[in-house]
Amino acid sequence: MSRYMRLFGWTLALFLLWMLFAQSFDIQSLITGWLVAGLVAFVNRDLLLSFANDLHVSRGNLSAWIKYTGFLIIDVFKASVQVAELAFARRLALNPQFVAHESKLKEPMMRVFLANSITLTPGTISVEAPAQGEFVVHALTDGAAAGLKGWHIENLLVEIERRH
Amino acid sequence: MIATVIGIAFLLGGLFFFTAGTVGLLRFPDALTRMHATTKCDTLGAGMVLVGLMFFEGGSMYLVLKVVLLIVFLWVTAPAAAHYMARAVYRTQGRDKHAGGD
Repeated sequence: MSRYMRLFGWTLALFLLWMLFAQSFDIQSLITGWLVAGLVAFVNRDLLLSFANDLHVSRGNLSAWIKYTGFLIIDVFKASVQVAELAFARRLALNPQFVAHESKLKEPMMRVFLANSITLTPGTISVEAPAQGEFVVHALTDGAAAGLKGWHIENLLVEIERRH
Repeated sequence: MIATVIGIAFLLGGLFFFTAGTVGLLRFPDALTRMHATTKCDTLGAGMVLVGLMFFEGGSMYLVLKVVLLIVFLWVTAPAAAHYMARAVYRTQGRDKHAGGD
């Protein structure tokens, strides 16, 4: 996608967001919205991500993305229940530890998704998430630390990367 | 009526997770373990409160879209903020102090 197409795409996306929150279709709102969306997209022109190149969204891996989102929601729920159990337990059964985790993912943005998923899901927080090399993860319990090996969310991200 | 009941259930669920996060924040021993409590429980708590509010407003398409966008925004930004804080703790205070949980 060319640079101008990306700029236009983001302006359109931001404009739609403006419309959603403004809920007004009068001409003043439309013009202001388009101008502001264009300005924001232009100022951030070097940061704009492309769906296909950076976020790895394509027709081939759409089903894997949907599966990933579903499992992530389930895991976020599990994570909160687990932390609630630990917080309300009479005796704190914590064994905090740092774990080095070698990821199979290669693309920087997919590694960002992995770091984000690690933080959102049971018992783990990503501490170091470099573009290459090992992740450092803080785990709340032994179980959480052991669960990182062959983790199903990471496998789904690997599948997304492979199918793209 | 049913929508109100579902809305209240979601709000109470959100409240429960916010409470759990706060209790964890107070009880857990160090910065990184406390971060587990706040990141996870608050993310789900805020999500559930937002979904609950959707039921009170009749669930118009605009509202559903707004709420979904807010939840996505929250679920993208909260872990990023937690990651930066965790990294700052790790780099400034070192892994030894926090690994043992004291």
